[in-house]
Amino acid sequence: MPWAALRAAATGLEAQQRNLEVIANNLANLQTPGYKSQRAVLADLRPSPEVLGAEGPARFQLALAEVGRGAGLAAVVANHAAGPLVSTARPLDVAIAGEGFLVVTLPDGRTAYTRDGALQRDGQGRLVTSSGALVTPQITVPPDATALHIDRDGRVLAQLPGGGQRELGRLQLARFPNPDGLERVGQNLLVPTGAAGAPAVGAPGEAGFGALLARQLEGANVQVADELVRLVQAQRAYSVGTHQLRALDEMLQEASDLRR
Amino acid sequence: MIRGLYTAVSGMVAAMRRMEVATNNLANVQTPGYKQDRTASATFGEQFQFQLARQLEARGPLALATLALGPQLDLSQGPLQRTGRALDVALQGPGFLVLDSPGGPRYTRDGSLTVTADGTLVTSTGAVVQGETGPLVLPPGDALAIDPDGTVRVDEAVVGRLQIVEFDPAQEFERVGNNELVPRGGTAPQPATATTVLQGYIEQSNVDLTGVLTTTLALQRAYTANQRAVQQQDELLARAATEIARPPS
Repeated sequence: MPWAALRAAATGLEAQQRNLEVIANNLANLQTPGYKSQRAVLADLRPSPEVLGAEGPARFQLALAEVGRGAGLAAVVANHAAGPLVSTARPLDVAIAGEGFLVVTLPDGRTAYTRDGALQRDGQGRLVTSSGALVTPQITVPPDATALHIDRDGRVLAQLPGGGQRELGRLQLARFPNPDGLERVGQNLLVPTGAAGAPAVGAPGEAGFGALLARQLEGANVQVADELVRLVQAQRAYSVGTHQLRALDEMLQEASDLRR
Repeated sequence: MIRGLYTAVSGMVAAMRRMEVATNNLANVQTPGYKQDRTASATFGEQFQFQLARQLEARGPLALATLALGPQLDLSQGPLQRTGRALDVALQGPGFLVLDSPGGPRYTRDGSLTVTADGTLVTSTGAVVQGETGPLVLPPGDALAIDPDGTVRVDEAVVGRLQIVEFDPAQEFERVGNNELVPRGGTAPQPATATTVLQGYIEQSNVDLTGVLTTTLALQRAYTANQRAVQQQDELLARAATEIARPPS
């Protein structure tokens, strides 16, 4: 019986540890463009099967196993609300106002998705994300372009030396039935899993897709004050948990001291 | 004399049992929608009568002992925390969300919802959330709104309404894990009348940290006191055995 209490206390500390990791990750990504804050959802653990059956008022049931066995991490859910827009004056920065992810291709050929619109040119003039993933469809900027502009509908326009303007291509957006099902693989990139559903691909500004705002970036949607409140709550829960563990330990010590 | 020994030990056992409940409560201090267990002890007489009524074999009187009672669910409202997440809902009032499961409906107060690949509204552990006319499937859209009465709208088009139910206040529940409860005796709930749905909020656990810490300390001291009582009586018994019967020298 005492072991059940010790185990429940341990699961509680473990769950708070996971919770703290998620909070720390949110705080670390305060300045990450397009970052979506996450929240650990904890859940109680199922009590073991009952010993004495379920009839009669619960308050008289002595079933030893009726007490829950602690808590665990059930899921990490993301808040997909829009982050604040930050002006940057860089022509290749784009923020997505509304739904959708930019589509990119990873070096290993997989398709990934991102809300981080800090685009740049690679050595061959192709548009890439800040981590070097190629924007899909591929858009190549000619070396003689004097200025670049991305319009609301995702068209990438280059100013040419002769004074003419040329459309280099159009950025695409994708959206998922369940954006929580996208796996974060680092560098602001998301890779779909089966849980995300089939992506719908469309052009910015079309129905259901956000417009692109050039010379702006979407900041992280992390609310510092909220995260700090959660941090304090998790810390306190952890520290009271360790107190309780010590109390249990002392009680067991006293049990073993019964025989002097 | 021997009976006193058992009485003191019953106090230790009851304290340890209640400690189990306290640790489980504390482990769930950050679990959304979690309802704490309250514990109390009852005299042996009370429990004995109950067991007699169930025609269990009597094992002899022990009128002075104490026994921990089965935990009682405290269904009081937990504090609401703002998350700003469109798929988070908190219930204010006594209602429950209804979840589909192979073994019949289950109920939860944890509104950390998400959707599946085809847009079906589910809990964070994947249980399908019931609307008034079956599961709710969200079409693609920009703005998800959930009204105080549970109506779910995507881009202003009504998708359905969350099924919110209320139970008799005396209803007892069984925990099945994943923040889900099942009513004992399979009671059917009533549609909610006194519950409002708040989007962008989460109901936190109603476990109170200070309360748990106080309970822990009290139980630990109770345990110690009973342990001392056992030791005292052991000592008295030892004296009775070795000194009273000592023949005069």
